[in-house]
Amino acid sequence: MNNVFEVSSLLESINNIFKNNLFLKDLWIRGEITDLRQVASSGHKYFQIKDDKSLIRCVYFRFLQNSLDDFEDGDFVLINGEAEIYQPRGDLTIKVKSVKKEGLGDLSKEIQILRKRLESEGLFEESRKRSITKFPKSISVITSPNSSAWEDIKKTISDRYQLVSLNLLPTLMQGENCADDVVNAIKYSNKLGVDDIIIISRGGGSEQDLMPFNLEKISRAIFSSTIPVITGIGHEDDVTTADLVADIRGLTPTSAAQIAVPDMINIKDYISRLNINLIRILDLYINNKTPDLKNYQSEIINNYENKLTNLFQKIDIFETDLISKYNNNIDAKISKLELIKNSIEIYNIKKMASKGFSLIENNDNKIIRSMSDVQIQEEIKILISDGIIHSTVHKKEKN
Amino acid sequence: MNEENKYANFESDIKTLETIISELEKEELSLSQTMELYEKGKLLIEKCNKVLDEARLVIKEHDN
Repeated sequence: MNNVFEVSSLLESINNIFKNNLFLKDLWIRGEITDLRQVASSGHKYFQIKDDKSLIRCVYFRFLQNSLDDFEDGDFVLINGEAEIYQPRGDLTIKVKSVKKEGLGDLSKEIQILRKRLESEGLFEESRKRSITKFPKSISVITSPNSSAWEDIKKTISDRYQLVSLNLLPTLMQGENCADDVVNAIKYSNKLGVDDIIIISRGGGSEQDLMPFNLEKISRAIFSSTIPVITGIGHEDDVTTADLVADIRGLTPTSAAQIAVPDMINIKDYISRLNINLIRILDLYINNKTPDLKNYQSEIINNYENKLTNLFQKIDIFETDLISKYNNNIDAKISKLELIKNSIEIYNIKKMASKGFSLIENNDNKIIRSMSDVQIQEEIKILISDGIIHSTVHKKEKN
Repeated sequence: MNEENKYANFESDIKTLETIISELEKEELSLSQTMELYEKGKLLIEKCNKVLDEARLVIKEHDN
């Protein structure tokens, strides 16, 4: 009779066993939701999960619930939680930590089939993926304007590289219209044709939230885009089909932004290195050329001296030549002058007069050369060597 | 000059700078060619630094 328990202490002991059992503390149950109700005052959800033979009660406390939880009666789900005996009633209860719709299992298969098809068509080929420009001037950002993804992208790019325009294309990033909206934004950016890169980004979410990015239409739109696409969808573990088609996959929105633009600090460093290189090369050039310059200098001096000596010699020769030519010329001129002088001497009237010749002029000082130059009784002047004889014509006799 | 045009040549300026450096590394350049490239390089470095210092991020929201 040692094993007699109070009811409550038995249930407590069982709970302790549960708590110390790793399997029961963190278990997974697959089944169908039934009898779901939510208590308005507390926000806790109560439901049962069942298969065709059994049924277990579940409680999903409000503080553990995810805003993205979306399940209802009849859904097949995979529940993660902890087993416990609810002591007031002695019921086995699962304290739920998360609920995933099992329907996604089928979707996962569809995703895999689609990926195989796209892969076989070459959409995931690394060789067809385009590289992005090193210094983009303009970037399309396809995201929700109120999302933390957009804030992360703005901040990251603002911190890294401000030589760029960000064109926000406000887009629904989850839900029914998400895929069409993203496709339209990609097409819009391509139509504008001004951007160097397209970033498609959203923050983390449930598999269902990210599901549009596994749809064929987004993959096809990315593939058809003439502008390179960088994705930054969800967290590191969330790989969507869009990520596989994208030219570059960023693990997060921040990482996508980091990939899209260079860091200005690095560029400044690079420019500074170019500057150092520029100066170094010039120094090197000058150092290399200095011996040459010295050679040129002595060569120039030698040449100059030689040329100068030659020049002086030439001037000397020229001078001698000039003087001799000048002298010869002067001598010739003097001889000629003598000759002229002699000739003039011959005709010197005074000299002629001294030899007995005279010159006759009328009163108008006109030389009389012919009989007709004088009249009878006309006064005339006879110029002789030592004076003038005034006379009158008495008679004319022609030869 | 609007913001976009101001930054439009940044990439080509950097490329030109890289070309200048590699040109300068050729040994057969004359002094005047070397000086010309050096001056051009200095001006580009000055310009690129100025562009980086004055850069301001532009954000436009489209109604796509």
